[in-house]
Parts: sequence; structure tokens; C-alpha cells
Amino acid sequence: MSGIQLERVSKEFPNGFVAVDGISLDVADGEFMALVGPSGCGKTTTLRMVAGLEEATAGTIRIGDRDVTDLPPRKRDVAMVFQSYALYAHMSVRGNIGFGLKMAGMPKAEIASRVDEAASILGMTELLDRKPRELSGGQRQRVAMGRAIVRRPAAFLMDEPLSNLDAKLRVEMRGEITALQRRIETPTLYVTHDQTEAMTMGDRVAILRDGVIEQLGTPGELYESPANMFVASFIGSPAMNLINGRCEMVDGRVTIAIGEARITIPDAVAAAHSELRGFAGREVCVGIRPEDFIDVADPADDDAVDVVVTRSESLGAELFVYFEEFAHARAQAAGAAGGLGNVGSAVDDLEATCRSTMVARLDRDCEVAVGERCRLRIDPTRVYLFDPETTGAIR
Amino acid sequence: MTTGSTSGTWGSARRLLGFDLTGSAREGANLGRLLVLPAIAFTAVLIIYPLIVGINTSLHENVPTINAPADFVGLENYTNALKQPSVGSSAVQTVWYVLLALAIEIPAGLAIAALLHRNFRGRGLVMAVLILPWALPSVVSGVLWRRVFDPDSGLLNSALVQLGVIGEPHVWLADKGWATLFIVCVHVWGMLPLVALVFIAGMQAIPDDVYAASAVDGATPWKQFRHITLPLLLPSLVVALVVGTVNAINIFDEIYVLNGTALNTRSILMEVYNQTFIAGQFAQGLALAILVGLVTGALAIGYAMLLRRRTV
Amino acid sequence: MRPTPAANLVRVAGVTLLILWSLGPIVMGVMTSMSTQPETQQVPARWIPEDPTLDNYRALLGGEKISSDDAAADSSQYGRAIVNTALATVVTTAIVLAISVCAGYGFSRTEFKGSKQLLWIVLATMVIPIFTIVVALYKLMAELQLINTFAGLVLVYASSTAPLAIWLFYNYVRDLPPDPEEAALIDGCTRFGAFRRVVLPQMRSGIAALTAIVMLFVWGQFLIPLLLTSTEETKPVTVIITEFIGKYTTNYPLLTAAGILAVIPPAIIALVLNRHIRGMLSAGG
Ligand SMILES: Nc1ncnc2c1ncn2[C@@H]1O[C@H](COP(=O)(O)OP(=O)(O)OP(=O)(O)O)[C@@H](O)[C@H]1O
Ligand SMILES: [Mg+2]
Repeated sequence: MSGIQLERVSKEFPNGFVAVDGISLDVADGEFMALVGPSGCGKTTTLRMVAGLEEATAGTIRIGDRDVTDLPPRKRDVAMVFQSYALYAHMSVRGNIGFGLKMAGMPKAEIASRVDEAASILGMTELLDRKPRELSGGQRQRVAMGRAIVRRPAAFLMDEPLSNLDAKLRVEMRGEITALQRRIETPTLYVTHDQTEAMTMGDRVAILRDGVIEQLGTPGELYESPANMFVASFIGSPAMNLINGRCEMVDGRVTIAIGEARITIPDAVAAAHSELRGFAGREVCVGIRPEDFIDVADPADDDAVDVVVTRSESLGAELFVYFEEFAHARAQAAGAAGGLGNVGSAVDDLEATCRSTMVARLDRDCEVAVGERCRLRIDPTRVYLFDPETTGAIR
Repeated sequence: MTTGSTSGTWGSARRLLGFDLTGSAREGANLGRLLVLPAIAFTAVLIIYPLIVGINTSLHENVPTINAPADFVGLENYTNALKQPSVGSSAVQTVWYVLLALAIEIPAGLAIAALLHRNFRGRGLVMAVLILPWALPSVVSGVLWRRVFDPDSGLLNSALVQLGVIGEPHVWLADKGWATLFIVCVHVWGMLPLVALVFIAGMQAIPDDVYAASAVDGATPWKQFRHITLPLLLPSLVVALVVGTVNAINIFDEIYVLNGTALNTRSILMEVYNQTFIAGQFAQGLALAILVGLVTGALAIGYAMLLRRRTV
Repeated sequence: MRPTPAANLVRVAGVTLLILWSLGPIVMGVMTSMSTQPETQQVPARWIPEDPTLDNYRALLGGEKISSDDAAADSSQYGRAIVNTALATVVTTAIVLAISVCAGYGFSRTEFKGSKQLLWIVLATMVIPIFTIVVALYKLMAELQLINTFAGLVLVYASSTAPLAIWLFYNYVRDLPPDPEEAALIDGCTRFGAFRRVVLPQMRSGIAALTAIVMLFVWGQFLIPLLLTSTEETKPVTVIITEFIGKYTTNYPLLTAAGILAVIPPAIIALVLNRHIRGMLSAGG
């Protein structure tokens, strides 16, 4: 077994701040693991511990089957791409890319051929004799990548390598990096604060918050079954709508009441969530993804809510409709959020996620007008339910 | 968030207790020790040790030959030094130097910074010219200005006589007031670039948005200066005050060139020089030097506290 | 925002005034230095020499003997003094630079037990006025027979310059981005290897600035050599210049020529490296 393994790794800074709190992570050989989370959650710290730039205060780190916890960076056989690229300003592109090989004592001729190979893979052969300051941001990014791949290390570490690029280039490089990684099959730990990046690039994604992994899984798993409200609202764009509702049993069927609206959970879905029956008569937090709304005209239809559109945005292929429905439910949500204070830091996120403005993603040919009422059906099989007390998903 | 870890391996425990740095940290620590060692050794031998010797000497009886044994006399040298009338007059004179120098350097430095902190064509050249006077030896500054004030062949006298402002050549440097002013003028010539640089750096650190925003809010240029530039410039102001004060307290070269060690313009450092090296009163001179040092240090700390008070 | 015509006028006037103020004394000095002594004694004074002469420069550099009647030194001593100053400046700068580049980096980029305290001690010595040290050092050096020696002078120069230099460089390194060094560590360098191969080149501009600042500082030293040097073999140019000043009459052309010559090296340093110098002074301040 090779790859990168973190076992209950922690980092307590000298000032007593615990930035990483017992993280365990297993990046398989050839796997692309994205580490994502809000700012300050400890992503960079984790990566730096793997690189050896920061000491772990507890736990074990293994790379390619070696315990590297106590090794200096140079003995860990990792390559890292920095957010700032960290190019050596006084060396040419060639010198930058070949530096690691030179340090490894590789013969000059071999260095030259490896550098040329890396440069041609990245399509920058003609840039080899320039200095970093003579390159554009995107080109610098490539040099940083070249410096990493040329070493053929046991692991790649990347800390938001795309965040200094413009939006278009970023999307382009996303694809390039994943393709490159597939090709050379080196286990990669990729840090980003952008969930889209994590979801599109990662074989698996670890969601970090306050130094703890909230959930680890494939992008599909994270999207389909978020473990808690934090993950639910973090994954997906626009974010999942979270709102307070009530779980009721009507005629032996589980029904979720949100304000005036009633959503009947299909029996098969209810059966799959064994905990759900225990919530009968209790508050639950309801999560509805914007893409799970369906515009309907029929006022008699079930599983639907009446909304007043406050704003609509057309992106061409799709239409985002903003509304402030659930006025009644919103009041409850505020109350519930207050009651959640004892859940600790979860409450900040709740306030952000139980926001009053909700959004639905509709087809572009839906006819909605700002200020008008409109009836939206909710796909009852795609409703997410959370325990408002623990913020965990009801399973 | 809870502290610590549940990991129980030996290695982790040792690391947690700080016994065992990882390879990289240990390497860094070793390199660090090696690199600062020369500085530490140097400081100890050439600054701290002489300082201790100096303090010790100042507490002992003055002896004519340096190696002769001397009796411990406590603070006697200090009280004796302070009793000298020339000490009092040179201290007062130094206070004047400091006040006058600051009175010119701070407003003029601000004005220069206001003039130069934004880019314009030829700014680089102007900045290069600006720092020139600071780069020159202060002795030479004195020499360059000396002919201006010379009583016989002075340019100032000549100009004023020609213009009919004064009837006959004036011996400027014999007149305490004028002499003080001229010495300060020469001193400021050399120091102003540094003060201006401090203010320019301070002004450049203020983001342009702040000005744009306040302009949108309807602030006049004066109000902008008063309510935005000045408060944000406070740290620079303190630095400029420290730089200006310390340098003015230590004024020596310009006076020496312009007016020798004449009593009417003698600074406190010159008095130390006179007592120690001209009069051979080592112990007393040291006592005086240490007093000057204490005052300088206290002033620097005072300024720093001023900064803290205002920014909290 | 486009500056208004009035603002432009103020700027032009201000800049002109500033240039006059900064260069005026130097230009006047050049004029005087090319005058003859009788010319400078005319009433009303002549500002611009009638027939510019380089005699004084020739005398100063060629070891010819010109002096004021009652001055302590004459022009034949000047060449030696310049050499003394240059030598002391170069040697002191080399010492101070080596110490402060290492210490500045060591204190800002590495951590070891007591490093913070040591840094504080070193920086606190900046508050100690040079004079306190010089007087004590004079006493020590008298014991060690180092007074009036080149070595003694350089040591005292270094001790009066090093704390400031360490502080300036410490601030400078602290503001440098640390990632190239970290990249080098990952690329296989030891700490020392990264320092030598990546950080030192990264610090080039700072080293240039510090070199310039220390050189300017040492070149202009006056009080220290006034106390510690007494013979032609050690006296620097600043001390010799003041000895050209006569008790009753002064040969101004000779004096100012001596001043102008002594100004050329620092002026060149200041002009050539002025960007770096400004950068470091304003960052440190
Ligand atoms: N040297 C340090 N001393 C004390 N606390 C630190 C130190 N470095 C980082 N931290 C803290 O540790 C936490 C995690 O920092 P880290 O840089 O890993 O965040 P991040 O997840 O990379 O965030 P971002 O997305 O903003 O880069 C932050 O709260 C930060 O303030
Ligand atoms: Mg980060």
C-alpha cells in the first residue's frame, strides 16, 4: 500500500490554537484527493504538515509506505505547488524546473532531458530560457506544475494552485491538472476553498471545518447524502436551501410541513430513513437543492409551495429564481437557530444557511415574473432532512 | 475545540512535549544558532562588555592613568557632572537643537512627502536628489555651508550688505541665536531626507481607495488630510520623531565644523567630549554619556508609548 | 483623478524648491572649490569663479602642499586620508554585512530556544548611544593598545553600525515571501542549502541596500575617529577636512574642494543604489 496516509494528525500552534484536530486521511496510490473547506479551517496547515514544512504535534504521516512524520521535507519525496507558485526569481524556467533534480544529484544530461520532457508536456518549451518575472500568471503556474512533475515524486501536494488565475484559465487548468495527474498516477492532495474545483477534480473529497473532517467521500456521495447541514450547504452551487419544517404522520405517511405547504415523503424514501419515524411531531431542518424545484402551474398539485418571486437571473440555459417564501417557516427557523446555540459553532453556519432568501433553478423557458406568485413543486424524493439539534442528517 | 490528541504513540508524546523536533525544525534551529552566533558574540564583546565597563568606570573615582586602581564613589561622578555650569548650558542648548530641528523636520518632511508620495514623471530622479544630502558626511555638510556664514568672506553677509539689510558684516556664529539657527539649518539639511522618506513610506501605505471613498463622501482636501492622512500617518510620525530626536540629541559634527567647541553653541555630546577627552575626566564624562543615553532611551520609549496609547 | 493646473503648479514649484535646497549647497561648494582664495575674500563675494581652476583638486590628489596659514593640516595629507577612509569603509562594511545578513535571516526565519530574547537584546543595544560605548571602548582599547590602529577603528565602527544593520535586515527578511525557501526545502535542499541557493539570491536587493547604507554610514564617521586616530596613517578624510579649517582664516577653495572630493563616493553610492536604499530605509522605519 502506498499513497499518503494521515493518522490522527493534529497541529497545535505555539499560541495554543489547534488548527488541525486529529485528522485521518488515506489517499490511495494514484488517487486525487481534494481537501476543501472554508477559509481558516486548516487546509494549508494539513498540507504543510504532509510536506514537512510544519511539524505535526500529534499523529503519524506516511508517504509511499514510509513513516515520514519526523523527516525533513527533502527526505519525504513530495512535490508541492504553492498558491504563490514560489518560483525561484533568479533562475530561468529551466533552472526552476530542474532544481529539484539537481539537488538530487542527477547527471546534467538526464536533467536536461527530463526538463525538456516536462516542458513539452506542459507546452512551454519556448519559455525555458525566460525568468519568472517575464512570464504571465498562467505561465508561472505551469512552471510550478513543471517543477512538481519533473521530480516524479511519491506524492503531489497542491495548495490552491489555481486561485491566482482568471476564471476562464482556471477552468482550463482544472482539466489539465486532472488529466496530467491521471497520466502520471501520483497520489495527490489538492487543497482548495472552491467546492466546484473540489467536486470536479477530486476522485474523493474531504470536507474540513475547524480542523476536523466533516465528511469524506466521492463527489457523488457528498452531493447525494451529505452527512450534515454544513456539508449539505457547502456542496452545490447555488447552495442548498435550508429551512425549518415539521415532521408529521398523516395517514401513516411521513409528511413534512413547511409553513402552509405539505410535502409527502414517498414510502420507499421514508423506509430508507429508519430514524425518520422517530421525528414524528418534531422540528426538522429541510434541505432542498435549487435544482430540485420544478415549476408547475397546477394549483391543485401536491408537494408544492407558493412563492412570490423577488428576483430572477437568467444564465441562458437556466433560470435562477429567488423568493422569500415560507415567511411563516422562516420565523420558526430563526427560533430553531437560536435554540441551536448549544451545538456550538454550527450555529454560525445555520444563520447563514437558514437565510430567508431561497433560490430555485428552473428551466429557461419557465415563465416567471418578479413580484408575481408562482407555484413550485418540490421533488419529494430529493428532500434532505436534518436533525436541527445535532445538524446531522436523518438517516 | 478540544486541545491535544488521542494519539498515544511514543513519538507523538515526545513531540508534544517539545523534546524532539522533527528533522527539519532541528535543522532550522541549528542553522539559526549558527547564523546569529557572530552577531551575539559581537554584541557581547563590543557593545555589552564595554557598556558594563563604562558603567563601572562611571561609578569609580576618576584616575589620571587608565589602568590605575580607583575607589568606588557611587554616583558622585554623576552629581559632579551635573553641577558643571557648562553641562547645564549645553543641555539647554541641545534641547533647543532638538526642538528647532523637529519644528522644521516634521512639517517640512510632511510637505515633501505630500509632494512626492504619488508617482509623476521624473519622480525617480527627484527622489534620488532628495536623499543626496542625507548620504553625505555631516562634516562635509558643515563644510559646504560654512562659507555661507563666514563673517569675512561669507556669502550671507555679502548678500545682505549688498541688499542694504545690514550695514556691515555680521559675525553670525558669535551670536548665539543666529548660530543655533544656522547649525540647525545645516543639521536639518542632512536629516530631512530621512524624515521625508519615513513620511513618504507612510503615505504610500495608505490605500488610494480611502481617499476616493472620502472624496465621494464629500471631504475637502484639508479634511482628508486632517481626518485620514494624519491619523493613519501616526506610526510614521512617531518614527520620524524618534529619528529626528535621537539624531538631534547626538548632534556634533556640524557644530564642530561650523563653530568648533565654542560654549555658545556647545551640545551635550560636545560637553561629554570636552570633559572626557579634553579635560581627561573619564569617569565624569562617562557618567554624563550614560545620563544622555538614559534620556534618549526614555524619550524613545515615551514616543513608543504615545503611539500605543493613540492606536488602542 | 487628473491633477488640476493649480496643483500642478504647486508641485512644480515645490519640486524646484526641493532640488534647489538639496543641490544648492553642493553646487555652491563646487563653485567655491574652483575659485582662488583671493576671489573668495572679495567683498562683495563672488559666487561664481571668474576663471575656474582645478588647482585645489590637483593639490589634494597629487600630494602638493597647500594650506591655510594657521591650519593644522595641509593638502598633502589628503590622499592618504581618502585611502584610510575607503579602506576602513570597505573592511567595516564587509564585517557588518556578514554579521547582519546572517543574523537578520537567522532571527526572522529560524526559531530556537531563546531566539526571541537574544533578538531583543541585540536590538535593545540600538538604544545605547554610541558615545557611551565609544568612551568605554576608548578605555578598553587604550588597555589593548588599539588606539590609533586600523583594527581598533574598524571594530568600533562595526560596533556602532551593527545593531542598526541587523535591525534593518531583520525587518527586510521578515517582509520577504518565505515560500521560495520552502519550495527549495521540498525540492531537496537542506536548510543551509536553501539559504545559500535560494534565499541569498532572493535577498540581493536587500544586501545591496544594506551595503550602501553601511558604507554611507561608515564613510561619514567623524566623532569616533576624532577620538581614536591621531596620526596621518589612520586619520580618515572627515577628520583631515576639519583640520583644514584655520583658526583665523580659512582657505575656502581648498576646504570645499576637499569636501567635494570626499562627497563623490557616497554621492555615487546614493545615486546608483537610491531605489534599494529608499526601499530598505522606509521598510525599516
Ligand atoms: N503560525 C500560526 N500560529 C497560529 N495560528 C495559525 C498559524 N498559522 C495558521 N494559523 C491558524 O490556523 C488556522 C488554519 O490556517 P490555514 O492556513 O491552514 O487555513 P486554510 O484552511 O488554509 O485557510 P485559507 O483557505 O484561508 O487558506 C487559521 O485559523 C489560522 O489563523
Ligand atoms: Mg490556505
